[in-house]
Amino acid sequence: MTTDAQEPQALSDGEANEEQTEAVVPLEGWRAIVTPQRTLIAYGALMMLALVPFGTGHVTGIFVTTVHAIASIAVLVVAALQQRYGLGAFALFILVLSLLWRFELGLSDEYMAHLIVVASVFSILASSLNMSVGYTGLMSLSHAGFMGIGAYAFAVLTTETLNPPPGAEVFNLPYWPSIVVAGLVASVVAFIVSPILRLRGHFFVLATVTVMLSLSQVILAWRWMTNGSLAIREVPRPVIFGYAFDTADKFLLFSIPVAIICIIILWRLVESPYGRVLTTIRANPAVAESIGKNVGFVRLRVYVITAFFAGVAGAVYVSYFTVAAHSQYLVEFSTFLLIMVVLGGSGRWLGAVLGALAYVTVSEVVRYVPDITEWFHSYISFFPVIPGEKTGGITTMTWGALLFFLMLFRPQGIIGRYRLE
Amino acid sequence: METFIQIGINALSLGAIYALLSLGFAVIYNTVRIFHVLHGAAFLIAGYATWWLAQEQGLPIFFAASIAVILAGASGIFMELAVYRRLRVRGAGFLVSFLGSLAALFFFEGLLLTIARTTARLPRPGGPLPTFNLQIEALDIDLFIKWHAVNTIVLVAILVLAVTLFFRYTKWGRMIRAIASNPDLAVAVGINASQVYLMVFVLGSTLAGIGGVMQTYEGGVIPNVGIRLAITAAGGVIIGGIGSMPGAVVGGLALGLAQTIASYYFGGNWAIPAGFILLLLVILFRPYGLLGTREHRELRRLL
Repeated sequence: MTTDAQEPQALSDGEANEEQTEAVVPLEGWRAIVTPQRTLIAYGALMMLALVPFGTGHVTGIFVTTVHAIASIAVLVVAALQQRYGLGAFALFILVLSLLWRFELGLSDEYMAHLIVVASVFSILASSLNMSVGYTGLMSLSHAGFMGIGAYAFAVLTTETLNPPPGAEVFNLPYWPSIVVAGLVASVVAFIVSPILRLRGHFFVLATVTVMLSLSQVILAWRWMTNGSLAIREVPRPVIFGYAFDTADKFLLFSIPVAIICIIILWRLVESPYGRVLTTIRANPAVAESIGKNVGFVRLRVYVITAFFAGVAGAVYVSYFTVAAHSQYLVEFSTFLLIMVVLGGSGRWLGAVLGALAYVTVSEVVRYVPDITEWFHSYISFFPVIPGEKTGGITTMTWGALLFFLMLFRPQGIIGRYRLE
Repeated sequence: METFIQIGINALSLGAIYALLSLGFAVIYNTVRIFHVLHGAAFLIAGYATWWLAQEQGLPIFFAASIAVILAGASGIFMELAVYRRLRVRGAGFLVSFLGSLAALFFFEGLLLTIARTTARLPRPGGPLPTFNLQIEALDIDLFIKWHAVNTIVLVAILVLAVTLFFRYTKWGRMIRAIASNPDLAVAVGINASQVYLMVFVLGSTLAGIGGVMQTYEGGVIPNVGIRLAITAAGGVIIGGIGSMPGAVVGGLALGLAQTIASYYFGGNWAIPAGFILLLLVILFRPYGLLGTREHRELRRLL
């Protein structure tokens, strides 16, 4: 086989860059069959098999952790054999962490379920942001704003509005339409702010941040609708055919299918000829225009569609937490979503999901930092102890450092298709 | 009439701080073409340094402020060397530099949150800021105006003048303008680009630092606003016109004006949305900014 000389390490990590996509350099042998995506899908499928009985209470968390250990070892082996360092590192991290948590640090079943729900909602958000950032090049930091709009829309639609001024309607819509309407409301808002799409580069980013801050403030200021800085409480959880998804374990049976549906829709959108248009627009808008694609319209459509999914994710999120609070939807969260996309690997539809998982796990790890510093402190009295309430700062610092090292040494993230330029 | 003057003074003093931020950002952006989100950090450094030196160490405020501004300028050197140069050497383009800048800002904010108290506020001897009573019988005006606001406006006016003179008449100013307008030719003529980059960061960060000192004296700073500061700075630059230094000043003032008016009539919550609406209007009706011109090279790449 002479193709070895041409591009032996075509898609091994460290070489990923824009010119070498799978279409140009065909993979050989088993590398073509067992791609990272398929590995991860297999991993996900195995996890679903474990999580479904877990959600209905037939199986304990230990079982799930065992299955998870087996699945991640499999991914690790595949990654090692294919020399995919990013994927391997991620699998190792997840494996060690989950074993440590379950058996050493004492993660309870409910908390595990909680983490899974949160991770699934974040996957929807990250995947939709990936469609915007990774595929179309629209670096939008307003995503948390659309999530917030969807969340609040859902909350307002499904609860009785508090203190409405005379003449206003009191909503109390059923569950499923409300989710869709919440997404649509987010899309409408995206459409309203769409003039910012005219900007390119840095200034588009700036405009999206301003949008985000404004949406945040609008939520605060529109008191009779959103209860201002107080939250909207008692947002309902879904009830399907009499089966109430009211605890965390049961809720994950709801949120995971919703996440899977959204991710599949997004997948079909981006891994398609339409997706090619998007990547062309990211790489070189002039070329896209010259072959007849109306770049402005496409960007608008992408922005609106991704806002829809963000709104839906927000609705599911708020349904889980049963409380819609302004503090959940701030600029920092938008940047964390961006970090999820970049960390996981932009330009691969599964990368965002990985990023969401990574985000949830790292955030949880950071919570143990005060304990770790205390442990060190007991041996070396010089070592500073970081008290529990400083965890917020530590989290931000950790993510800053992580993102910086990522930009320095591995801009393509864990399984990115191309190196960010 | 009274309210007019009151709003005017508030708008000008807020706008003055924004103008400093925007000018610093514009100086950096025009030369290095990086979305310098870390700009907010220079502001915060100066603010916290002033607070720490004056409050904890008991230095007189003037010395504390001066040292703080010098620290902010020095931090500019650190930013260029530790963050941007390192990324540039690895071939970073726009996106990676932006994310690296954002990452560094996060790290810095987290660091501040962890090691310092959250708000840095200067002690004001004798309670609230000293005011003077402005009375003009003919126009029926009887107002109390803070000295600090007037000081800010005057200081910023002097600074803007100084910066303009710097760019027009000094050797360094010309070097910076050369690199800004045509980097390749400037390097070919023998100007040291790395040195100019450092100068630009020092200058921009110093300006931001002065803004930080003024803001700390008036109301204090908290670490979380780092991104917001950078956004304000960049917003001022867009509104005034990308690539134009007077534009940055005008943009900052316009932003301050919009925010003050909105706060007065609709409540403090609407300040930022008002800024956004102004930005949106400028993009829609004057996409090159209030003082921008079609010729500017940068615009062809961005709009």
